[in-house]
Amino acid sequence: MKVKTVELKGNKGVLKIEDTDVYFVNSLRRVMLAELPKLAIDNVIIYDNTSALFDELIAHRLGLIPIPTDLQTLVFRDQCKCEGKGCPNCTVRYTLSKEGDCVVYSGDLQPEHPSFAITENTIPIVELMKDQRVILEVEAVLGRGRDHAKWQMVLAPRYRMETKIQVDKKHINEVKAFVEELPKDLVELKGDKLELKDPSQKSILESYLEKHKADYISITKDPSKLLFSFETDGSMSAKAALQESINILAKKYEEFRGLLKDL
Amino acid sequence: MTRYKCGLCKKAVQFDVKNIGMQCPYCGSKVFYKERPTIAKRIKSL
Repeated sequence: MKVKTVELKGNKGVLKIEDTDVYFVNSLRRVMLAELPKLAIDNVIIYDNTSALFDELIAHRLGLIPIPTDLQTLVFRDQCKCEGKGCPNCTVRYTLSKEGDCVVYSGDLQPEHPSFAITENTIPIVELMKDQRVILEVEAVLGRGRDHAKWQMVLAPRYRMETKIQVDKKHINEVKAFVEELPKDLVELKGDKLELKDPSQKSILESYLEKHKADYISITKDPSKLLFSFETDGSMSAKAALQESINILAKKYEEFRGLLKDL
Repeated sequence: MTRYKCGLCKKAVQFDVKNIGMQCPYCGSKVFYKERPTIAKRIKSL
């Protein structure tokens, strides 16, 4: 297997994976969606809320805020020594106290420790009119995407197979005439080879082929060459999310291998 | 007796829940808001 990093900066990651199978990349995609741990607000203790939104709706909105996650320092609450009571090893606490008229943003959540300060601090939670106020305390715990979407760190992980465009050499003049009718930045004809300038524009080329009934050009997909791309919600960098996903996947394969040995 | 807040004059009033046809004794308004209890409410973020 060959892996080439096209982009792995901030929240976005794009990898070119060659000599692989679709099932393997798909298992990585599914680990990213369902197994990767992430911090999210789970319990909300409301002391006062005179805003237009009711308590449950505010709690739901708070739950979807991405919280910076450090998997080295935190453990799952059900695996913690505190036995689910909530301690600094498994729980991160925030407080919020605001009075109108203003908009309450995610950045108004004050963490217990500055290292857990919200990075995406312009997410609106509720708008307060004059004399309205919200006073609350929240507890963020680790969870997995399979339990609730609020614990899903990676957004839209996807892969695309590399496309191969095959040209019938006997009809090269018709191909040249067809290429001239296409938008300028769509394809490039190098000798008798036709290449897409941007692989994501494949569907546009397909629609032109269908319209012109150009059966001398055929598009095939190569399942051994994949372009894998994903984004995180900001609670972890794309690089860290990828590394953690690979670790989880490796552990799962090891566990499976161990089970097979016992058979 | 349950505590309410008048929607017009904002004064606190008390009514029996069984009472039919509530009216503010200060301004006559019939719109009331139920006052929030002073205890903390713990809810799950779902």
